[in-house]
Amino acid sequence: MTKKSQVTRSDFLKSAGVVIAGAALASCTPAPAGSTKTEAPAAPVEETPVLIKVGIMSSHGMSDSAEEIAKQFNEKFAPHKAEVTAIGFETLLDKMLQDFTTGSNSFDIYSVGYHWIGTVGNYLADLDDLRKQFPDIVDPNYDQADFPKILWDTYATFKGKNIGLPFVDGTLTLFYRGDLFENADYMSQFKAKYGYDLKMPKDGDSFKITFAQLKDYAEFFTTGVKWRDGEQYGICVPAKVGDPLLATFCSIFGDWRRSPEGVQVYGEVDPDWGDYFTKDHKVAFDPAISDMGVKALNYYLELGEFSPNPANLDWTTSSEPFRSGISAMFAGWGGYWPSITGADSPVHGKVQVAALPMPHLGGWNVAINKTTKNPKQAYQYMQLLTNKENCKMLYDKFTETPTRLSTMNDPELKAKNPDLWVMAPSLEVCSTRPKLPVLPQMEHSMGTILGQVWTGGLTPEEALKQQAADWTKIIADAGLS
Amino acid sequence: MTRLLLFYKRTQSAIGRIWTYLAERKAPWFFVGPPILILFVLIIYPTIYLYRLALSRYDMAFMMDPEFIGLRNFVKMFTDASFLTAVKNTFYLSLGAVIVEFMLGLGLALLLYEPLRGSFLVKPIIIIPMMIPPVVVGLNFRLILDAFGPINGLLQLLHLPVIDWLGVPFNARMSVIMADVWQWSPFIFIIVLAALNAIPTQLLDAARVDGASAWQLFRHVIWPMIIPSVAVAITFRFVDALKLFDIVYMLTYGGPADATEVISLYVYRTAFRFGQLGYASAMGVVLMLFSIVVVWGILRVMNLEKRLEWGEK
Repeated sequence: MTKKSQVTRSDFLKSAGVVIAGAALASCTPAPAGSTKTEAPAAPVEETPVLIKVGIMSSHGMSDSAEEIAKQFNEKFAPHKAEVTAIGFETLLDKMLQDFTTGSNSFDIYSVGYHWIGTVGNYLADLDDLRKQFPDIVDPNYDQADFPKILWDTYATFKGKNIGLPFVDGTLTLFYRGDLFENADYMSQFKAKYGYDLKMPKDGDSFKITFAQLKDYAEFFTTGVKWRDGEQYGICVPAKVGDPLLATFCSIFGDWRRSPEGVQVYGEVDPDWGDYFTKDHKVAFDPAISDMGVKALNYYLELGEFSPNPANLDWTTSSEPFRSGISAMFAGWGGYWPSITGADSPVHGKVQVAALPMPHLGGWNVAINKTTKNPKQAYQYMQLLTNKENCKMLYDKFTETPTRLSTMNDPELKAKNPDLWVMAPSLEVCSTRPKLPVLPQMEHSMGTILGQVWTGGLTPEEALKQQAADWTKIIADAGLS
Repeated sequence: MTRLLLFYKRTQSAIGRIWTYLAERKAPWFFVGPPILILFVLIIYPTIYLYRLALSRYDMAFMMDPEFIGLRNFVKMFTDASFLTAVKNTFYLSLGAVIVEFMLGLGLALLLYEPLRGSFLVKPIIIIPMMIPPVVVGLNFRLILDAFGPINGLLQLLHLPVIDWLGVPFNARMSVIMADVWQWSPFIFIIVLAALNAIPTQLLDAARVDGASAWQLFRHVIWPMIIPSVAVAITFRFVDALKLFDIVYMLTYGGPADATEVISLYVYRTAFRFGQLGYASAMGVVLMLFSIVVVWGILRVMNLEKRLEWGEK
């Protein structure tokens, strides 16, 4: 028989003794700095270096801009450091929500799409409080009045509080092929067919094109004139499930919604509820209220006939046919200018921009995670990122769409960048999305219901009725009605 | 002093008794305890938490704590058109994909079971797709099937009409199935091939000597021998296909409209896009029950309990 291997009583007691002694010794060792209440040291203490983590949307040069400013920050505010992580548009909101609700504090600063403010606004720091808490960090030359009012109201404000600083402007813009629109032969053919001039507004012009004109232009360059070998489209208009459908339809419906007739029927637009809602927060495109929604949707469908299948086009895929030279126009975010017109682009040197009949507001702020342990340094970074000098520098370097009027109207920059002129006029009147906590649900609902109009599953009227009912339910379920 | 000594001895004796008791009677717990603890922390607690959330309203966008609402999430689910569409899509996409994967996998296994020149090279190549992350597969197919992608480019070169692979509901569903089939047919192939290799050659030789045709050989000798493996492969694939997420996320994101919306994607959206953790948890519970029912159904249909002699000693 083998002897049982067993822990003896004395071994057990010895081990227990070692553990207890170890614990007692550990409790006697000095605690890390700052973890205990100690008397203030006589000599001045250097600030503990902190690392500011910045989560920025990865496209449109936003992350390049944030990286550039991180370098400035690291020099100016050493030993503190800022570290930028680029996060894709599709996953950014999800990541933010996870971070905020789990309190994991993955990032101190986020770039927040203004339409997400309703969803994450409760988790963002109140910057007015912060400025009161650390008055010495406020830049006296920051010049808040340099931001257009609409941008401050939509990007920086939630429930009356300042929760972010405007970072990147964005309106849906009309990109078009200047070489086609200025071709004398096409101009005369167009005039003969439609009875008016083929013309796009330029910087300083007071006229704007209408949606009816836009459709004529799209039709003309699809079927009216053969301007290239192979397939050709008049316009690329996105309608893919999600943000592209929600924003593009808002732009079109907004034209009806903000017309004198629309204002009479629906009342003024509530900035928090946007163009899709009446003054008293009913779904405005509901056919039970007016036929303007049906008209707008029919128009969207008709315009889509002159585009590659809109149901399959998101922002990126709708820019591609234009960039590759098979489409005469493209309705997309102003920030696409560099990728569309780069030196390697097949349409390099041929592209111009104009404001859409009803521009639609997109854009981003930078905001501080409420649970950050470094609010002071986070604010300093954001202030640096969005100040006057850097707004101009970042636009000049990365052509990132500016949020400051001083940059939008800078003559030197205007001369260098043919797309800059359109930014300020686009903000004069533009449609906006709702800033509601349930916007992601509404966006998905619109994709599944209104999306069926493109696949032939529903007529425009049926779709809008169902859409209105579904949105009303979503809002009621969330207790917002 | 005597009393103190007595107290010391009694204490020492008590400690000794406890130690002996622990060492001799409860020793198994020292070994079983840690795994149970790990099991509890990693599986049991999250599962209980999932059920708790499933019975709560927990909306992240409203910064609210979970609020007990009973079965309301489950009731809502069955009136939620998006969820019902996702269930229907998941079922049809999974069924379509698994049927094609089974036929392709079986066909390839039968073809490569026979000694062929170069099969040593073909076999590893066939299983490569299985090793690629599904996200990458989805992205690749998205680029390939893009309206202006290489396949439509090729069709144009051949003067054939281009196909809107991802913009038409039927085509989008077929595209999802195609991507899943491309990735997972090798899984069926490899399992069936292993089962074929396990068939005693004497059996096959005997059948051939008796004059069995190729079809008779397959129908009466090979098929009965490989059914258990096929059933296991199909069960694994079907349960996995019910959780289809990555490929759809990258390829269609559930569109056009809701044509390819699947349960996992909708659960993900609900949890992390809409911020409704309670409702998403309830859907997760239903998906789990749905998977259990499907597995049970497959086992029953293929009579696998009897074939594998489960429960028999």
